[in-house]
Amino acid sequence: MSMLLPIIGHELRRLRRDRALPWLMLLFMAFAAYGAWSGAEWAAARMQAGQVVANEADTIVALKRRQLAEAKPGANMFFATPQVTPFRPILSPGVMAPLSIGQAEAYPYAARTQPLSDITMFDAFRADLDNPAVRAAGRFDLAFVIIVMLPLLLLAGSFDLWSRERERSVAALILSQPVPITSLLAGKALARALALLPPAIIVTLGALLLVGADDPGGLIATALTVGAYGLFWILVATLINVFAKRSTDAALAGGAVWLLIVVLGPALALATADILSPAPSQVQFANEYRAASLAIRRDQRLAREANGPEVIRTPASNIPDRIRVFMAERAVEDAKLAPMVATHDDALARRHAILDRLRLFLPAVATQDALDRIAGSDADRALSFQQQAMGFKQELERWLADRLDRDLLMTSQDYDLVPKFHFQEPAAGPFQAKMLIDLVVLFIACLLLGAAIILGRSAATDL
Amino acid sequence: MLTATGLSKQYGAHTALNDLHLNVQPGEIYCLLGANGAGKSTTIKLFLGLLRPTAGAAIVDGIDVARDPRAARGRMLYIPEMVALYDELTGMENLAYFASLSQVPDRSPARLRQCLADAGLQPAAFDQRVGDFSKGMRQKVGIALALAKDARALLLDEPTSGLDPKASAEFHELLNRQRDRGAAILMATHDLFRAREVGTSIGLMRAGRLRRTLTAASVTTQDLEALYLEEMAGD
Amino acid sequence: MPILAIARHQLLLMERDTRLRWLCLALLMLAVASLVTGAARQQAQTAERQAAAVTDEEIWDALGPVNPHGAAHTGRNLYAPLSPLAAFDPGLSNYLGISVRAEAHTRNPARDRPMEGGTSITRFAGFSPAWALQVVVPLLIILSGFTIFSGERACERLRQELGAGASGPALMFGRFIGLGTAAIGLLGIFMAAGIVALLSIGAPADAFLALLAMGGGYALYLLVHAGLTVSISALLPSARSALVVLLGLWACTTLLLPRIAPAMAERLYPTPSAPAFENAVTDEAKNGISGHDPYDARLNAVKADLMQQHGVTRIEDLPFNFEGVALQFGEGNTSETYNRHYEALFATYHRQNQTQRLFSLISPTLAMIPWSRAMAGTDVAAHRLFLHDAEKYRFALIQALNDDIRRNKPKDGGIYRTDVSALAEGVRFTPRLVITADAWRDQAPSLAILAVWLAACLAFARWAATRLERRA
Repeated sequence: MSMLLPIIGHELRRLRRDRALPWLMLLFMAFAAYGAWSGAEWAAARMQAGQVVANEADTIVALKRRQLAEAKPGANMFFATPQVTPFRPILSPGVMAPLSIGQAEAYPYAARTQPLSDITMFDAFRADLDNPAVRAAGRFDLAFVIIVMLPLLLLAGSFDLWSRERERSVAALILSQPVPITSLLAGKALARALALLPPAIIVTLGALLLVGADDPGGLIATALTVGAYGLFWILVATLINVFAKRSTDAALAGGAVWLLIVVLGPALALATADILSPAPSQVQFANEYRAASLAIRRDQRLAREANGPEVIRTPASNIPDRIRVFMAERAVEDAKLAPMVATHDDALARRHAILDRLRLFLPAVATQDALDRIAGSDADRALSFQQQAMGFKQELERWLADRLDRDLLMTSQDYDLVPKFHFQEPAAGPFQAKMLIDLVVLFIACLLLGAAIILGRSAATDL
Repeated sequence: MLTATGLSKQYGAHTALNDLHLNVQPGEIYCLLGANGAGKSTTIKLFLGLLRPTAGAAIVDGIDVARDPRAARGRMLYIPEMVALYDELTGMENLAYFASLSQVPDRSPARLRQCLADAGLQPAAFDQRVGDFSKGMRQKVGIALALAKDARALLLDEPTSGLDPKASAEFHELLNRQRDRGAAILMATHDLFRAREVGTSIGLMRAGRLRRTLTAASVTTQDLEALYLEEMAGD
Repeated sequence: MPILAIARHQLLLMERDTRLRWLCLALLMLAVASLVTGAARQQAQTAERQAAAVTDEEIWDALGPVNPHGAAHTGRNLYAPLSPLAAFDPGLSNYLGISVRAEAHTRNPARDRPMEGGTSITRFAGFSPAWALQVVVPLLIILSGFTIFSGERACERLRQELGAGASGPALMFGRFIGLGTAAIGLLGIFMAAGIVALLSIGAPADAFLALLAMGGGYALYLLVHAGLTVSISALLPSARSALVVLLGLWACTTLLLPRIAPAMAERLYPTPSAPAFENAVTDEAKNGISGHDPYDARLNAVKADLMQQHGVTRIEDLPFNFEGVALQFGEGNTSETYNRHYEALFATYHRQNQTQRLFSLISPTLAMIPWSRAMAGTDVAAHRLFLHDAEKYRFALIQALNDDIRRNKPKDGGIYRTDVSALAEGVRFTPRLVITADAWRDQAPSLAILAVWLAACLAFARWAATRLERRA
């Protein structure tokens, strides 16, 4: 171990003399800044879209207030019945959103609802109008820079960490000194980790801070993730150098491994999962739900009509009784449809579990997952929003039931007192359990690479 | 100091070195002569522990190289035909690095400069990048390392091929000084004339076998050449 | 012909390179695997959409006697047709909605994008034969060609070759032809796999034509990379620097620019968010384009006009149901407003695509991508055709229902109900696929840009050939 320090010092001195590295780092810095900026722009646009949706409710309530103010005594005040009160639950991007856009675009981020809406309240937010070519190309966010570009930077800085000496015969001179090959490789790998990872982490955090993503926990979690992923790539380069005797071979192997780990592996794993366990059909479910819902409502209408014309009680109630009937019918409908919704949700959850498990074998995906979770752009947060919005709808139903019981029309100040939707963050911040699992995946991948390097070390002394 | 007992190396069906016995004493320069593929480089690599012997042992200062290569390497220095150094570092920096790998106790700049000077390198070149060094200058850095680590054995693989006559003469002068301070030197070479000039003993190798051992003082260059050609012609 | 002899020699060298053989084999296996998975997925999607269309029809037929306007609110779901070549180049298809809900008062955007509802791994989707040809095959060309003229061994060889009497240009173009032939051969295997895939799904003849046109584009694209590779290899004597330069170019043109260009284009010509778009349409439908032409006033003018025409003073005395007229007028108003806004949105997409085309002057990949997608029928133009057909159907259906309301005046204030299934019988949704000739016209500039790239590369190679002689 006493060997390690001089080796590290020597390697660091060599890296300092490398003229290409500062340029590569500068390039990485530019990409990181652009990534963070485009992520921040996206988050701002999403924030703004959410604000537009939230304003809709305010506009409608303002209209109702004006109608209330202008209503003549004794006029029909249907606009003031409580079941047509508008609500707009919104999922706002988190503080760390510029880090990764992740899955935030693949799930509804708002709902247009009234107390008696159904699951179609998210439908308007399943559609977007931005150019699909942008999404198909993939977002150029900081997560992309970290997952795709950072490995290239690290490989560029370490692909020939031993093959170069072998190629130039320095290796014979080194190996004829009393130094174990493991110390040599460890020193070289550590030197590169020391020279490349801290700047990469600082650049990443700097870019985030520059665009205002300043949650301390999120920044620490980002630093850990980038560090672990970076270490993984330096170990990949080291392992390649155990076997590659020429620098061009090492470069080719590095490129191939990069393509495999960052691009092909995840894509093929996903394609396989899609065939073996396809996602439940959203369109089929939507149709079945609609068919069942229409059938229930038709039966309810027929039953209502069989009872004869609507009886208006005297004195007439403020809120017509048909609203109460409507609410009761909706409750029955919801209860009847619940098993169908639950079955679909279960199928979705199973599919998610399978996709989630794939990342345990794919370091690039684990890193993406960790960054998504830190950024709050992961699928779980989006799903939690949907659940919470559905839960909020139940709260609205209770609120409505109470007002119907008491036959209370809305007054201007009532609109200030309606239930409010507050999104509860589903997980314990950036260091949530699944993010820690991602880090463990990276850690285990590093251990495996380390073990492979140690097991294959004799190949490194083969000149 | 350098002893081979029944040292053999087999690559599949091919025998690179067959039952080599040899002993190089302190203060002795042993020259291995032979054509390409005779087994000279294999012998050196076995002494360095870069190859594992198929049979027999290479022993350096009483240490079996195969058993404890690190301890053995601490007592040796290897100088290849082209001393490959880090081109982007200076002579001093290269020496400092290799000295630290060899765990040389005194690695002070003053001492390292002294070693470079003793190895015959011009002081102006100490802090120049090695990329601009000639082959001879590189070998001087190699010798400086031997001085710095006080190597008791030197293993040289074709050290003078490609050197101009002046540089070659300088190098052999350096070798003689190493010998005089008591180092055991094993040198693989093609240069019959130099081998007879600087060598104490000369071994003729062919096809992995040591065919003949001579005392340098006992032969003239002409004798040696005749013997060499006779051996190389084979049976 | 020394050039052909050199080309044959180059092919022989590459054939002997086992590393290269394995790489090609691995790539072909990946491409075939992705084509098979793509075809399986496409079959599943076709079945899914057909089943959904059948269910939707059943829902509509089961409505029974209902008020036509109620039925117009129930609406119909329309599903996008799948292009037969989507398995070869999925293009935008995973990012475009596959269904449009046709209902009264709104022209909905397409929903149910296949990429929805994923997890973090979904960001890594997108491997297809087209992607392999756009990104991986150029990499293979670089790897197999960067040492053609660079590296110590190649330099030695070059001296001997020139000494033997070969000229620089002959060496350059001979090697180019050799490398290019190998690339085209690889492309041929992709095309053959594509033809087999098309045959297996019984695709129409037009799809084969599209595949052929697509293959032509890829041939130009791959030759560009072969030309760049031999030229750079001739200019840089060190194999290491040739590799670094070529890999850098590759990463920029195939990976970075295709991501940056659309983002830049969107920045230059921003698209509105869906809620903002909707609110703008609603506002304009209500207040007119000028913002001072309220809908109610326009409707009242129609009402007054009609009453005057029929010489009546009460709306009830009109010989038809005015409510139907009002609905028709309203639908015309919103539909026109929506169409105007969608046209503006598509014009923005178009400007974005034009901007992306500008980037293709620095990256041939950005000319290749739109050409390939257009031929595969998986670009915005194909989606637009579906949206157009869907809107045509929606408008016809809703107005037919409204017309029925107009013609049937309810007696004594009761609710009018009818069998809407029979009413909608005359209006059918028949989505069309883009015809290859149209796609060709639309994307001819992309193909021209690829041709210009190839011409430029050949000129570059010719220039590099003169340096080659000087270098030796």
